[in-house]
Amino acid sequence: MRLRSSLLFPFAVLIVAAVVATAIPLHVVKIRALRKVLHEHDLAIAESVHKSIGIHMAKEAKDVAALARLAKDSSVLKSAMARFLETGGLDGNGDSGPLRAGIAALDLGSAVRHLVVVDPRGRLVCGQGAGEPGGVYDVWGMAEVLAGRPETITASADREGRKVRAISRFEANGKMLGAIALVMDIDSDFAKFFAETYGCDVSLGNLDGIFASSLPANLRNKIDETLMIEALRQRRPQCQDLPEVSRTVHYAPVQVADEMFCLIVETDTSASRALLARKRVEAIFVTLGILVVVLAVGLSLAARLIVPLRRLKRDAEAVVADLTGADVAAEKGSEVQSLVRAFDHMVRAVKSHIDERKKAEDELARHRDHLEYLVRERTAELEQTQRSLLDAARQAGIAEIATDVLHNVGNVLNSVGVATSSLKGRVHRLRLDGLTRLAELIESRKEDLGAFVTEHEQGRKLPGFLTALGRYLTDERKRMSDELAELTSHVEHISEIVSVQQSYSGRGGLTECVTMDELIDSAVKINSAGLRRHGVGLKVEPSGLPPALLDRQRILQILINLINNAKYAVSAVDREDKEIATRVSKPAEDRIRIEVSDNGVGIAKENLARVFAHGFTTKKHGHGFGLHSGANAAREMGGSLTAYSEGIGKGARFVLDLPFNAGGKNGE
Amino acid sequence: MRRNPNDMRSPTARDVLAGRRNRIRPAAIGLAVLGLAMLWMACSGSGDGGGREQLVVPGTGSCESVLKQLAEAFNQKDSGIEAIIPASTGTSGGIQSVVSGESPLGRVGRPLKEEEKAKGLTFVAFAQDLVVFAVGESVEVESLTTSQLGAIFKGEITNWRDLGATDAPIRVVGRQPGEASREEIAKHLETFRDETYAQGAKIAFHDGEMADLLNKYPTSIGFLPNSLVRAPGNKMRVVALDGVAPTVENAISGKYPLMTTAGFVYKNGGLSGAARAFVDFVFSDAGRRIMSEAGMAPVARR
Repeated sequence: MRLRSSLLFPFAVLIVAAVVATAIPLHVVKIRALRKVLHEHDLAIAESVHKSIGIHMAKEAKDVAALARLAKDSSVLKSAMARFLETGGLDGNGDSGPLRAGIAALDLGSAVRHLVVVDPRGRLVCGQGAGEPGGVYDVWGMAEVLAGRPETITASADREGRKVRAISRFEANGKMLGAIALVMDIDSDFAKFFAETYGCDVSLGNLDGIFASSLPANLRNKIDETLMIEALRQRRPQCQDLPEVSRTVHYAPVQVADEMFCLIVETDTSASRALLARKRVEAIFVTLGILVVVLAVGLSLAARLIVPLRRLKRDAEAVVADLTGADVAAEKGSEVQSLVRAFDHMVRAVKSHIDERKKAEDELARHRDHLEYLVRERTAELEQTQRSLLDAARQAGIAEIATDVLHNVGNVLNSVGVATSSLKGRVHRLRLDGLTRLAELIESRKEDLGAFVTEHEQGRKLPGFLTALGRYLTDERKRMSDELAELTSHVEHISEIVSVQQSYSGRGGLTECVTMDELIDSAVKINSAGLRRHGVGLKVEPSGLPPALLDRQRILQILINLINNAKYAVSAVDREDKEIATRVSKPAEDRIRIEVSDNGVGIAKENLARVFAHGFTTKKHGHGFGLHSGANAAREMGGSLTAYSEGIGKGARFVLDLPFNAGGKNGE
Repeated sequence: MRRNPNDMRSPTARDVLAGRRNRIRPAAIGLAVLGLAMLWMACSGSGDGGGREQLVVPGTGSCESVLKQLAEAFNQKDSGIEAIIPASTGTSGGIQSVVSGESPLGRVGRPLKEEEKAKGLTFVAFAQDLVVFAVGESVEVESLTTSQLGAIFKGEITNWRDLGATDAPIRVVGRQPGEASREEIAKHLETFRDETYAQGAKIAFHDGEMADLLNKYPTSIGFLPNSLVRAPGNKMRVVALDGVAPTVENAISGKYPLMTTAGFVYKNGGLSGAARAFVDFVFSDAGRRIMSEAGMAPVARR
């Protein structure tokens, strides 16, 4: 399987895009959610730290105030201070030693707390980091306490930094000794204490800057003053994310004594960040894994798709090649494109093919319709023609029959004519005048008739005459009777011809039990007058065959026609021995053959086949019908009529072959 | 041009986070408030029927005391609305509350800046207030010159003795940069153009803190809206400026220069319900009278 396919790339791109479009947003959403959760978590930590520190600081301030009260009520300090003042104080040689020792003996609980003592004029007696003794300790709230207020808690800045002071009026037995200030440094140590306690970096500051921070100055982030002011003004925490240093900076207001500070809590978000980064890497690997799996599955599916696509394309191209002979296989492009093109080609090819087919079918249909029309037309014409032909044939048939009949009748009428003229001549020549004269003689001699016969010369001759006359008349009668008999037979023949023709026109011929010799004899007899007149000799060979069932009329008609034809044939030649011969033979047990031969004009070779055609004749007044109908009749009787001739002048021989049903056993 | 990734990322991240928080939290709070309100309404509906709609007006502390008086008077009317004036969150806090939808009405100590107007807010001034310099109760000074004030705030004069009063250290209380009173003073008094205060000066972030500090320290000096000075329990004293007493008359006549505008802020599209009722009351004769008594100059509604 060839996998290199232009479809694979789009497929791969599609798959990658699909995976990227689903997996990555999922991961993005997941990571964003995680980031949000982590951020909220960091924020919550910062807020809780802020709250705790706020509470803690308020407590610190209270502790400081409580400590200040404790200090001012301390009898040791009171007595030490009273003695100091009594011994001259700052103006004299007052000894602050016991006071210092008393202060040092106090447990202030924290390194950031100091005790400062001032005299009634506000001058520093002793105190760590408060300056030189004797100087005015000019801090917020001090004047008020010295003026009579028992206690002030204040936060303020001085050169050493930001401090919270709980200042209490220091008096013993109604006598004012001065003031005791418990000072808490809001410095980096203070901040570090909170940082250690809460596990995050803590800074305190205001618009003057950061004055306490758990972070060294070089590691502090730049303060966003806007956020700080917003936090202080709106009294709500503000948050700043510093992703580049993995920190969340949380600004919140915190009230310290009478000042509002900004507490800045920085939480390390690097753990969250690391978790996020790990999750991102995980997401990338998961996405890649999905990508690989989906890609493999997708590509295998694509490959499975591509092969059938190609096959389909090839089939389509083959169809195109088959239909149009055009080769479209060389076209380039992706499987789908080339498949689409191939199908386009195929569709066009099939469409044009179908169009052509349809056109051809339409053409064919048109042709068929035309043909049908033509056929109908021709059929009608043919029917018309047939009708005309039938009419013509009927007329021709009628004519043929008429001709036939007339022909045969004519033949016979010739004989009738001959016989009649012979009879007429005989009647004409009959010597009836002598009989009339005799009768008149007898009439005249009626009285003496006897005498006359005996005496008269003429009378004596009378008996002889009468005898001669009688003989003559008898002879004449006999002859005339013969002639009449012949005439009668002619007339009978005519009537037979007519009846034969009647039988032709309808039913088959009638067979009767006759001998062939009889038939030949009849035929010869019919033609005898003509033969005699033309001086043609007829030689009949009697066959002696037994009678058989034969169609007398048809055979007779054929024979008459043959003899008649032979008579003409021999009459046409100038020779003495004009001769016709008939011969009957039996070529087979159930066949009989009659031959009529002559030594007449003969038949030209080229005409031998045509002699039986209708209308063929060599006679001057012939119809070309006799042999035609003879051959037809022979065929109808199950036989044949054949002509033989050596050529012109060599005579001819007609052979009539017929079935021979001897004995007339099946007579009708 | 390639930008520094920090420039790109940090503001983006912060903006996004701030935006989200500002979007989501007020929404959550709003929902919670709505839920509670509905619960409360349901309870009160079946109970004694004494429930009143609450109108919280957060914002500046400059007109806080007079608005409390106005709210008290307003709440005495049986309007079914209870106006509440919470502690100051500053003008910016009031604006933010209105922008976030936390509150329908905010109180501001100055007209809106262009970028604040762009958030879809409308400002309506209801009074003019004086910015006055005040001193602690023990300071026996009636009037100070602008140059004296400048020297005091810069830390050049540190004791009242130098100004002819009793010997006492001067405790300076200032305001954070950008604050309306401080801006107004800086606008009119040349000696206050320098932004640095005396060493050890305290910074108040609200007018209330200023008042508290002036009360707490009898030798202090600071500045604040006139209406706050007259609030009950205050012990500070107002000083004349260059001999001109800070009165409404002097301000109107132009002799006294330091004035701020107090007003309400609300979302474009007008007020509705409780907020409208309260604002209507502030602009009413009774409201104007209260403002006048507090030392403010009520302005006509526009």
